Amino acid sequence: MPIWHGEPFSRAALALFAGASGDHNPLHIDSDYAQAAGFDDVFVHGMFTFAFMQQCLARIVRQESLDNIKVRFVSIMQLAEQPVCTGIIRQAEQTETGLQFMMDLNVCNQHGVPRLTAEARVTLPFI
Amino acid sequence: MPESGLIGKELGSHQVPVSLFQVQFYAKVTGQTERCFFDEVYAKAQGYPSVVVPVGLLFGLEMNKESPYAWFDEVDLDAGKTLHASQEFICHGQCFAGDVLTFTSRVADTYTKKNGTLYFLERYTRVDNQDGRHVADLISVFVENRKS
Repeated sequence: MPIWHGEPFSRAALALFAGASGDHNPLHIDSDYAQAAGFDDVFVHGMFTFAFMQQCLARIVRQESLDNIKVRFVSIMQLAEQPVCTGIIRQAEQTETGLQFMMDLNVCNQHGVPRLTAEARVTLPFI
Repeated sequence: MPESGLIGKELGSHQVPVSLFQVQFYAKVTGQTERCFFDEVYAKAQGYPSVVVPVGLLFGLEMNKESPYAWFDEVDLDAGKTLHASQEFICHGQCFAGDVLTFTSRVADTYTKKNGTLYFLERYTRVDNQDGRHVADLISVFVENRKS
């Protein structure tokens, strides 16, 4: 699969994501709260990084072909980091209904540090 | 572990109307390029009733209720120390703007790692649409840092 680069995560983007997604957890939008909780600053919602990965996946498969996706947020994506998504098809097989692909995807920051890893199963039905 | 008593605890059920605005706003903010996620005319031309809900938005839609973090108190999670550890979506059908989704959740599992310094709570949520169709399952794992 190609390598996709996203925009750096800005404070404004985190606030907009909170509003758009409905996840108003203050750890991602209120620096005072985040610092009081022991973090250096606000940080990126795991699901925002997920949304970037989904945007990449949606360039190659329609969502209705997606059977299952499981992501692990392996470390915290920090403010101003730039997401980079890559993936491979690990396995492909023919089933009764179509072609099934197992994919491994991951999103790193711009320095190659993994932030999110995912496994997805996609079925492309026979025409 | 006292937390094991939480396994199976019902966390309730609530309905969420999915607005066209929210799906389009989410698609814009997250840079979606698939037009089915934001272009209603295009989505309808593809045979969909309206724009398609990107699956990741289901996690946020579940929080579309009064006091979305109140359940943290019910299961004794400290919001300032709790992060999203993993997320799984099992897709049985598509969701669209205009749908009214019912989210029904329970505690599926609890466990600790690293000598009890990391406490994990797994929440299972079933999503049904307004036609009674089971459209998705969400398995959301939260981790509380208990290092003093």
